[in-house]
Amino acid sequence: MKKIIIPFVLLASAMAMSSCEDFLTKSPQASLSPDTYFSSEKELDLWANKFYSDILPNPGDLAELNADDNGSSSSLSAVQKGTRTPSSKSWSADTWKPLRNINYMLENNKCTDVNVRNRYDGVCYFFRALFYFEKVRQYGDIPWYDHVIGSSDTEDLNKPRDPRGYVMLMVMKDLDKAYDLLPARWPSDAVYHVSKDAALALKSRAALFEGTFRKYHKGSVYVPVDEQTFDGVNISSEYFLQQAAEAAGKIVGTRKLYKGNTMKLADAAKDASYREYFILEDAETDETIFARRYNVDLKVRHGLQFDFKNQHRSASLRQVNHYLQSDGTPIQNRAGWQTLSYFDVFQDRDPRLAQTIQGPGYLMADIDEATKLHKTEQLSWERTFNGFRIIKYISDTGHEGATTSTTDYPLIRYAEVLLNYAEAKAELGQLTDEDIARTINVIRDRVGMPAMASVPSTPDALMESYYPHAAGAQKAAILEIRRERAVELFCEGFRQWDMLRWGEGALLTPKATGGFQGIYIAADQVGVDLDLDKDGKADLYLYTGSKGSTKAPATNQIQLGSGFTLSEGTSGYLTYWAAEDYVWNEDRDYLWPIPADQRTLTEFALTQNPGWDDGLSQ
Amino acid sequence: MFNRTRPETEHNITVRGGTDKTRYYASARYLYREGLFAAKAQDIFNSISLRAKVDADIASWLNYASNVSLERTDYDWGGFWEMDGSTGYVSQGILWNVTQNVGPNYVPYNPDGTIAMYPGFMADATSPMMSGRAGAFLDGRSHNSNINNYWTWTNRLTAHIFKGLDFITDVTYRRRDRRANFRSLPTANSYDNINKRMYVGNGMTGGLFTNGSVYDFTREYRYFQDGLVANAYFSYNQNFGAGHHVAATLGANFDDYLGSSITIQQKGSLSDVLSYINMANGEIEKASQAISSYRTLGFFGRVNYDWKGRYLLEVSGRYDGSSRFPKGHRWGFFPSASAGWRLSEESFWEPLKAYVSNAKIRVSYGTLGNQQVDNYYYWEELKTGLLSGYTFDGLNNAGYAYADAPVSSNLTWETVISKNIGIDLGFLRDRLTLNADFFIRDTKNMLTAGKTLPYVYGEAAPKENAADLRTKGYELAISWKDHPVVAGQPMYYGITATLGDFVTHITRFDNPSNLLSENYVGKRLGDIWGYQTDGVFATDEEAAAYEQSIDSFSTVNKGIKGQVAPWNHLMAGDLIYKDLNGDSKINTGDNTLDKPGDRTVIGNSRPRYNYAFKGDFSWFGFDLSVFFQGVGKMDWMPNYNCIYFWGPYSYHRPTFVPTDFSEKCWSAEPGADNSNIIYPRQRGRIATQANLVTSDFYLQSAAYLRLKNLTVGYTLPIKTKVLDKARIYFSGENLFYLSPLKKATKYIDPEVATTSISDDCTYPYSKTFSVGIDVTF
Repeated sequence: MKKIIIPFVLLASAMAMSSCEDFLTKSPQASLSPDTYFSSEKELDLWANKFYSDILPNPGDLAELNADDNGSSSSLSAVQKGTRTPSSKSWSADTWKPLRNINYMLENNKCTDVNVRNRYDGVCYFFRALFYFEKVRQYGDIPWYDHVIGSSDTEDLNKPRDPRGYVMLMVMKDLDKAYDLLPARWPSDAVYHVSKDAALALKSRAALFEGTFRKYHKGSVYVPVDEQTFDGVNISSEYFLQQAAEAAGKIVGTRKLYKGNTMKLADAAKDASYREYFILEDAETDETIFARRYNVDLKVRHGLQFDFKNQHRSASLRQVNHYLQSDGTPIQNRAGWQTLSYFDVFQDRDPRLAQTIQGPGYLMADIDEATKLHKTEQLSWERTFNGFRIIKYISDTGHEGATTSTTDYPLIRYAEVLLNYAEAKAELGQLTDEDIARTINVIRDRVGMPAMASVPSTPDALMESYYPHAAGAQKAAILEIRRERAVELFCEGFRQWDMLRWGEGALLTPKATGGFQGIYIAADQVGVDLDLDKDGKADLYLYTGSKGSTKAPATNQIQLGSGFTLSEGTSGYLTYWAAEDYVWNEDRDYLWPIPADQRTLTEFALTQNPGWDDGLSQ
Repeated sequence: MFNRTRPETEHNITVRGGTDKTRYYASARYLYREGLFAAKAQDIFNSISLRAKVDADIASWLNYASNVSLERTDYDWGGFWEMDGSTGYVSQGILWNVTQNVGPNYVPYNPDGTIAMYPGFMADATSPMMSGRAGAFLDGRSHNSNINNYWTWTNRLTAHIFKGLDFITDVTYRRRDRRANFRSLPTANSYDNINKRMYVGNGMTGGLFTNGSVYDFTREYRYFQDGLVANAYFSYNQNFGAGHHVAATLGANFDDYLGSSITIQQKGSLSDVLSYINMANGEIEKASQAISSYRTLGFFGRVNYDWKGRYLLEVSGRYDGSSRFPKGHRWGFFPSASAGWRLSEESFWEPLKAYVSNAKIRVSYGTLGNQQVDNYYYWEELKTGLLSGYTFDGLNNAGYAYADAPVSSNLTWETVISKNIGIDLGFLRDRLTLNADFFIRDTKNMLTAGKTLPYVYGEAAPKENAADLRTKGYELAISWKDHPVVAGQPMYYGITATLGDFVTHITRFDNPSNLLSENYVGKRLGDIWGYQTDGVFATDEEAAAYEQSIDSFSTVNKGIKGQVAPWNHLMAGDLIYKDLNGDSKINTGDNTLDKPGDRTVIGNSRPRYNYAFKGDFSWFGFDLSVFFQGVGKMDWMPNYNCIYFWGPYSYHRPTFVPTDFSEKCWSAEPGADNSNIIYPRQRGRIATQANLVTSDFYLQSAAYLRLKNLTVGYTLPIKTKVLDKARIYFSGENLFYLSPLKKATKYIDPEVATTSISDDCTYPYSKTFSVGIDVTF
């Protein structure tokens, strides 16, 4: 009997004494360990892929960026409506997680192949710069972290906000490192990866933002002091503008704009290639510096066309008035320019107008099976609310479902870099005729617009009224570059930020601009069928009171009064948002509020932005 | 769509017997229960349990025992696949899922029997009722099942070493298999998509409805769990000399567990009846696996000593190790001790004995280890996957890798220390007994999320041994029982009343600024912070004056501010929030204990004064038992998604509005009596997730008294050679309850309201009536 017991006792004491610790180790079997990760190229690649999907915008974000140039009939942005609050949730653990992931990889990258290691460090620096640029753009001063924060590191967790100038200087440095470390071209799928040119282009974008923001807000609550010194570097609006010009200057002249006309949306390439560029299934690779890929087979899709349709997304007359006449002169040179009919608006204009907004004779990307020709489409109030339907990004109807768009999304393209260069130079007062030839005229050349012969000296009156705060030795050039930017980069996510950095935020509110005014309607055009595009068919029937007889499609029979109005009451520009009454707060609205709960959590280390009352005692 | 009654039947059979050397026991139980779902989605629960026990004396000193049990449960339900009624709760709860969006004015079927479709009217642009979920319910082609098998086999060997000393080893093997399959099919309905007609007619179906979660697929889920539990210990039990009694155990315990699951989901079901992966020919959407394991090892010992049952002493201890904690923090020692003194056994008590027949004082000190964290919690795991929304090469989805949220590296056991003092008294030959216990329970190093970290940290705060709690409470029981002989027949009756109460305070938490958004030292668990109100505005003028002087639109009244003019102003019948700190703003201040703005503790959600009454009576073969149970005090703040409370205040398309609902709302009618209202001015959507404000006006008392059980039985006066005993009985559960909550709503049970996981008052308590017969042969 004792023989049975003794082994048990021995076993129990053996377990207790020798290896209890190891005996109780149960390691996860379906996952990897961070200790050994980050050594192979594949591992680095997998980790970095998450930066792309976490940080980069997708086309759906464009559908949320209302500004003064385009709007939706379903809702206005919080900026335009004045409904941003200090309890907003755009600042969360999830929004800060990508930064943690970037710093985590920078700290743990132990790949022995130095080329591979450098390349992925470059990716980290690129995305950290993008992350912080977007934070500064929104919040101004922001705490800068270049390492992973520990859960008990109170000093880091409760770090006060670093001045925006310092953070943007760090962004510049990160982008310089990214430029050094990133490859000029990745071995495969190059346009979908961040490269040297992407780093330069982002640098020009970020530096131009900071340079102009400082210039146009100098002395205000947002930028009390422009010239500051951080880490031995003297920064100022000029510093950043120079950085922008320098970075963009390295790319200017090295790339070409897309001039293809494979879909034959018009006979001449000048009337087609701009539109075609944005509906290519696969991004082209000369003009495109960096793009996000979509693919039908993998069901990696977006819903931009669906959103645009649902929101009746339309351009404002303000935007339309930016487009020059085809001879290069401004629209106000034309007699009666303020009361042009829909048809006349499109006659003899910069060809980009009809490639951006649906004009008379618009051809869909869809091909008619019978005739093998592009289909035509009647302007529909199911797709616009003011007559200026946006057709940029709109490919065929097969791709307009909620998640059925598969056109690639250009994130950075050459035309922006050219405009960044010209603008930075003009803001510095250093723009030359040669600069214009290498930038603005290259862009105009694609669409067959006449070249700008020299640096303009007389400010255009209309542009001056649209940008009342523009200033500088080369003000006339600044205004013309802004016109070109508004036209070329329309609806690409820049406008709201451009208006903020130029100090023109007040004009983002519908009240300030009449609420996305659209096509002009004379008093005698109410209550009768209108053939807008002169194709012999009734297109629109506007009425007050009860509906008379009409041949216009049901969707285009619009009752005036509630919702739809005309700017002068019985005549004027058709609009939908005339009743909006939010008035811009010049001393508050250029920055977003810091969330109140984060301020209390950091024991008030985070200060609130000017003008925002979050109810806290400090 | 729901059944009013849920029939169920249950059958039990037990056999036992044996010789002096071998004994056996076998039992079987069968349960059948129909669920709430009606129509083609009828849910049915089946359960079979079998058990066999045998033990045999192998030698005079050695006994072997085996215990095998098998339980099989089978739950079948139609309709939407996530609506698993067996758990009663998946995502937003079954009732919510089906009834949200289904107004009483929507007919589910067309005259020809096809399912009606409501274009552009529902959450999804075009859908049969309730985003297709109710449609799937009616359609009945979607079908799901969940089958579980639980095996347990225990082997025990007992060796008698010498008189009083035994050595016992037991090994238990446990296995669980689960197989669940789901057949989701789009709902066929009569909407003609081409001609845009809502009703095709003649029994024709027009189209199929699909959306994000309702579409065509077959899913199979397999899970198995393997567990081994072993114990080996000495047990000693001996009496010595004049009334000394000693008992002791010493041994070890081992627990090893592994669970693993696999899920496969494939699109394109070929069948309306079969749910097998082979019956699908589309894309494999999901193929995933999870594995989880743990292991514990423990050593334990206990010594008891008593003298004549008068002085009692016990000392014990456990030394436990767990794989859930990192090396160096795995082991914990948990000692306990207790002592008792039966005063009534002392000689000096003799004179009292006639009145106080029993008197005992008990004291104890005990510690217990708790390891409630996930199995691999301290491992920072790195996982990989595919990004559904990103591709670089256009051929494959981009892969990704990510690390789990960081963890605390010194995680260890949570310890619960209980101190107890108790007294047991018996009067009048123990017919009247009284038991009283007072206790303090300290939870040290509680495993919980640590201090809330600022978002710049970029991850969720790691779980740590972050908090200490102290619970104080008491338990009282008083009972009277007697068995007189009445009319020549033995009668038995007894009544027992119990009362217990405890409160818990936080005694340690890393929250130096005392933020109210997290735990703070001194906080009583369950405290509800909210605004105080002064009733409602009597007139529009009064409301306008308040609006002029006090800023409430950015906080408590933002739901009103967001309404369409002219209703975006305060009006008669709206709540008057008190400006407690007099700053002319209604807000949360710094949201700290020192500066809480206008909020204060308005109630507590923990149950207080748990009480129960139990009565038994038997005479002449009849038996009767009643059991009442209740809670003396408890507050309940209805959650926004409890649409059965809020109705249109929370959700704009409620399907369930009691007929007397409007009587409980403030009324603008001249002369209306608004003194007893439950709801303020009727305004849509002021109790949504974004708008609901916790205030004393909405706070409800969830105290209750419930008749839990009533049983009446009669034992037939028959006894034959074969038949030992036969009893018929009637039993009713949850027959009625009393609660102040009934004033607000009689459709929400206070117990369900305060325990529902999702706060949406999910699966209601059922009244159960059963009739049965017990026969012993």
